[in-house]
Amino acid sequence: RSGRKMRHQLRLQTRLQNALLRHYNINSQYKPHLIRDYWEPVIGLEIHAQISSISKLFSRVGTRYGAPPNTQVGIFESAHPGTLPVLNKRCVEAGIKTALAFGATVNKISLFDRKHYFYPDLPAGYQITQLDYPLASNGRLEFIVLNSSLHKHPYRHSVDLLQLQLEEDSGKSIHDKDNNRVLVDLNRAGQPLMELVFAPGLRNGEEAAAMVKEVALILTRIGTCNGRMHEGALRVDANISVHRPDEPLGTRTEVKNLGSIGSLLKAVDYEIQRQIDILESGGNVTSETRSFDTHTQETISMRDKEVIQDYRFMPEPNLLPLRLHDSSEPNCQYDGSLDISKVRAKIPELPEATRQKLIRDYGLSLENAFLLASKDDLLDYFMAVMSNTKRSSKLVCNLLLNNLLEALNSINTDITNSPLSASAFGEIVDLQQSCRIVTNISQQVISAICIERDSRSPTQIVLDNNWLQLSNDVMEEIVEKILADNLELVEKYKKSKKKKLLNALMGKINKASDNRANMKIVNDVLLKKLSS
Amino acid sequence: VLEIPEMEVACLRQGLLRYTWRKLSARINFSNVTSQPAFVTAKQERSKVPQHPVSPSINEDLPPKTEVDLQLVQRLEKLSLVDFVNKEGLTRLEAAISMADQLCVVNTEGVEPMITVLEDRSLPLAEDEVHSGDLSEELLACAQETLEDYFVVPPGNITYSEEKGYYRELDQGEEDI
Repeated sequence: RSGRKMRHQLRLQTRLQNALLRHYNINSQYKPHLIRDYWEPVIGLEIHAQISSISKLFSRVGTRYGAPPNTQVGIFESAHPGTLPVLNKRCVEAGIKTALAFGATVNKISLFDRKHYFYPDLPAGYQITQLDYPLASNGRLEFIVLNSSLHKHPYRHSVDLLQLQLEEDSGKSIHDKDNNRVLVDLNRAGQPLMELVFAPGLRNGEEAAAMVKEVALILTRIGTCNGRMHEGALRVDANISVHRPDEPLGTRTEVKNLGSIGSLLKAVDYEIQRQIDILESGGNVTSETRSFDTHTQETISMRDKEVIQDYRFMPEPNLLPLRLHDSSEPNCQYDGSLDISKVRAKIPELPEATRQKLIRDYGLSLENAFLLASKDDLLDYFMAVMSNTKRSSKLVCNLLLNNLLEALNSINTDITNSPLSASAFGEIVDLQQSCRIVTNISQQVISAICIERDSRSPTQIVLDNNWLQLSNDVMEEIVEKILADNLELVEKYKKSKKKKLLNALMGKINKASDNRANMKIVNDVLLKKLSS
Repeated sequence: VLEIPEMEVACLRQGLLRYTWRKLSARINFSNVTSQPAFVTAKQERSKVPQHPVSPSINEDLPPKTEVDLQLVQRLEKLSLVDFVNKEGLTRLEAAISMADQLCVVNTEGVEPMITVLEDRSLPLAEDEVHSGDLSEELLACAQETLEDYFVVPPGNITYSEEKGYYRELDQGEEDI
């Protein structure tokens, strides 16, 4: 018997420790286990983010998503002879802003290069990009892996940003296999992209997914990219290899054009497994480019046994060096095209800072802080409700994230168009916090206003429907009555002490009280009466 | 000794045309003027520009002559999409390579490569505005084949598939050279 008590105490102790770890010690570094205790995967990501600007990178043609084919193409994108590139100021600003958000050094001089390859959707035969002297380098991205299936707690990880460069996109090819032809739409040609090249510091698919989510969130927050992967605004290429920890890095393969977080996750994990299988059966991994088939959920080779592509990089002769100056530096010469410090001043609060503030000032859990910080409109709503500092943040979070969001989902609305305003929501919170209504009733009021479009104020609804929480006397009366009406049930419970029977009694009391009783208090009262 | 930089020669050339011929004739030594007025001599001074074509030879050590083999030729064709696998093409390629080899003699230690003559200026940036609208009609009119506002192209990448017969011929051709 003492053994059971000790085990119980130990369980409580570890549970307490885990809770503390979750809240205070997420700074702990975590090294994922080696696969089959032997192989260490190494993953590096290259993210192409489409800059949200009104015109394209090198010409003043529109960039609107979903325009009819070939209606947003100018003479420069279609590579007509005699046309020259003119760099877009907003794109440079976006590049600088993104670089600063990742703590990267913005290079005062950067150069453009041509990358040559032949493909129908690349009219000029080359893509203008930046190779040796990119816009920015040496940044760092810190992120949290929240729901790790391998590690029970959220943990921090970070990856270096090797370089950030501006480049132009190519057009889109639609393969019409039935008629043996390809259809080309050049709307996307010349669209501005930021390529973020990260160091190979990831170890598995869920780290990659968490990292890309954080990148999308940061870019959306600073307004340089809308982060919509399904629209192609954010594309990820993964370089994957496996090796034994004490040996040099293995041959890597590149998986291109992953269009969603889900495919990234599956593609990375599949590729790791595929490479391990090859190596364990004694073979060698060939260095190649692969793509991810969403139907079979496998990576497939795009080109087989090809000689490494030679892109014949050469400096772009039609573009001068891009010079930038920083007026916050003491010896600034003001000789650049743009001022870095002006862009720095426009950067809003980053998501991680928001999360830390929510945890510190409002005592939210990490998961709730994540949820609120990931959507600006949700965060604004929360802050509006919390402007009344007496309200309990825990209660607000519960009602907001569980009840209100569910109601809004059912009517297909988002928080900005919520029929329940922040002030009315605050009213409900106040009513519940002051114990005048119970959670069930709050839920009903929320449903009434959101789903049934009741236009009365929450207080009015509660009073009209007689939904106020029952006083303790009335509640005790009801409990007594139920106990008197269900004597056999009471006898059965007193003999077996089964939770199921207790719940049955609770259900009857709830029904009899019209959902107005505070079930926690009812539980205590009931147990007291039954044990007597 | 009169050293005339190239730009000034151009200006002088223009100025020359405006000058009356008579005034000019008094100044210019006709025996030096050829049909192409590539230089100006004034006051009987000799120009540094050669009177006849000169082909200098560099006596210093040049890198060894690059062997152009079949594999390299195939690769170059694939990258450039230029068909040059014939006797004349190969000779021209080898001549071009050995001409470029002469650059190796120049000592470029500590010198930054020049990318543009305007390297001391900075790139002008344009405001983010849309200036041109829908040019799809004119653009699609340039294409050989279109379908519902899309350009139609043959499938696959434009690469030279390894037609074995073609390259076998080439090998035989090479032996004849």
